[in-house]
Amino acid sequence: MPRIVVENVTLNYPLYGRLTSSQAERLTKAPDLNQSGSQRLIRNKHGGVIGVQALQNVSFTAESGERLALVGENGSGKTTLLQALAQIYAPDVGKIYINGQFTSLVNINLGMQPEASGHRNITLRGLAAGRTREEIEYKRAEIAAFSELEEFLDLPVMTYSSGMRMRLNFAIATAFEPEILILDEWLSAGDSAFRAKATARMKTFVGKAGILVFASHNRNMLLDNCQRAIWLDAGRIREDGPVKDILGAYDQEMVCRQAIRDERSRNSLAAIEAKKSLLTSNHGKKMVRASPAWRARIGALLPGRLLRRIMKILIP
Amino acid sequence: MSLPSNNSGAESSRPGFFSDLIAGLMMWDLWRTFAWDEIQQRYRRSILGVLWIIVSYTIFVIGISIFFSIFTRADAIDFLIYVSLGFAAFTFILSNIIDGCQVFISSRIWIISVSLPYSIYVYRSIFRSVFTFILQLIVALIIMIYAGWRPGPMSLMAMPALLLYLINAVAIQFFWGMISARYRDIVHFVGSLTRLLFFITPILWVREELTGIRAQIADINPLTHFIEILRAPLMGVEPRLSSWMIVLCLTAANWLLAFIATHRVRRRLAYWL
Repeated sequence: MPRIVVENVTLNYPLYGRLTSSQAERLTKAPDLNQSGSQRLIRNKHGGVIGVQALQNVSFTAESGERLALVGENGSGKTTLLQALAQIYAPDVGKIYINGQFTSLVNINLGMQPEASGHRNITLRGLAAGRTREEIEYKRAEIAAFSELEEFLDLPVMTYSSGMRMRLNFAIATAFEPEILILDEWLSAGDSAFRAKATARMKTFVGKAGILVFASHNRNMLLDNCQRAIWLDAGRIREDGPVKDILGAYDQEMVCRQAIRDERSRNSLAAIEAKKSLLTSNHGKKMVRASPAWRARIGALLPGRLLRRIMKILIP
Repeated sequence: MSLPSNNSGAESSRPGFFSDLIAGLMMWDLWRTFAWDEIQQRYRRSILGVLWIIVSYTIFVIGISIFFSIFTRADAIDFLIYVSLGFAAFTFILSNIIDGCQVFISSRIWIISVSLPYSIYVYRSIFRSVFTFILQLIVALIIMIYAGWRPGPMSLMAMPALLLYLINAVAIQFFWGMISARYRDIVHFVGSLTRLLFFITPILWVREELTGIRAQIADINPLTHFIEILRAPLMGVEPRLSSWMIVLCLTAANWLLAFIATHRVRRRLAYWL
């Protein structure tokens, strides 16, 4: 029987020098504690940002036949959780047990060879799923029919629109009958006809006692496809329960938060306007810029940390 | 994307180095198809297509041996064979280091969306370089047979050398792939070294003709020995025992490095890409 067990998973997303030195400097200098995001930044002892806490102490269990929705704001950790379930990212703390064959569709552009034709991608994805050539040939007609791409399947995938890519990806992923299906929100991007088709397909899939994990912002798709929901908030599970209750509570909270955010952005916009008018009143006076743009640009090319360290040695 | 995970409770940790290697080997149909796609992709829309590998190799080898034969005491025909074998071997080993630096970086899209054994990307990359190598060796053999070369008992000694090339290619790609995914400077470092390596490796010149510091540099250069164990037996010369010993030691070192690098970083690889 397929089963997912997630035990106390904490996952930190390391940045590994992805920040350019000027970005790092800005983050180090101004730890704005009012912003909800900055509490999730992981800092080293000098205050430099070294990572982002993507998931914190997440635990849940999904049994066979369960249709699980993941809801949460942008950046709340939904995609990272899906990637951890798909065993792409290993958690720092905790364990994830997956029983059964799974398919994860986290991003439409991922897992496709853009230069290869649609048919070729069906073959590659089938092989990657551990299927034999015969099984793939057996499924090919079904995939072609479901995706409705017909002769487009002979063209390279890079010529497809994002909707076409999504159709093909979804058709391939579900054709090989996984026991666990992990879907990210991009599925909501399809037109209504395809959404209905996908919903029907997911219903039969879950009817076969599979597990569906589906992250989305589309209320209707979640209500149609899921019965249970997990609300992720800043990397933690805020609530876990029936999809209707959770969505209701989530929507309410989002309205409140949006009001606070609107207020804040209004204030900062007003501050910018005030500055602007000050500038125009000081007409004629040249502004002295604290850091010329060229310096920032050169700084981005040089290994900033190394330079700073050398400077520290030279000028104590 | 799916993974045929075992039903006995797949735990969320990457498999170890050796089980990754074996699991990847089992999926040979996948990496073979992948590699073949890539080869076709590279030469798509060119008229000669894959034949370009043969053409560019032939042009280079013949051009070089005509031009450089005046700098050596060797016979012109011998020198042609010497260059064609040496250049093919050099290209194979070096392309495994260069491709190795990119092996995981260029597979980013797959690595962060599918949980496949990492060795698949390594085998795919090696398949490509082996394909080129085989084509070049065929051309080299044609040149040699045309020049009057006939296989002797000594030529069999080239077989274990070829096997060692393959064994090393796996370890080299794993090691360089892992560390250059983390430290992107490695890619540039290797790139800057390759041109120099071409001149300090005995391909255009014969090591035995040199003395002093240059001979010493040639002996320090590991590529010298890798090339020698393949080229010397095919040219009817017994390779130096020391060359074989050095190559065997380097093979062990390569595998140890690959094991350590993979063991230490495979959990983090997806984050680095």
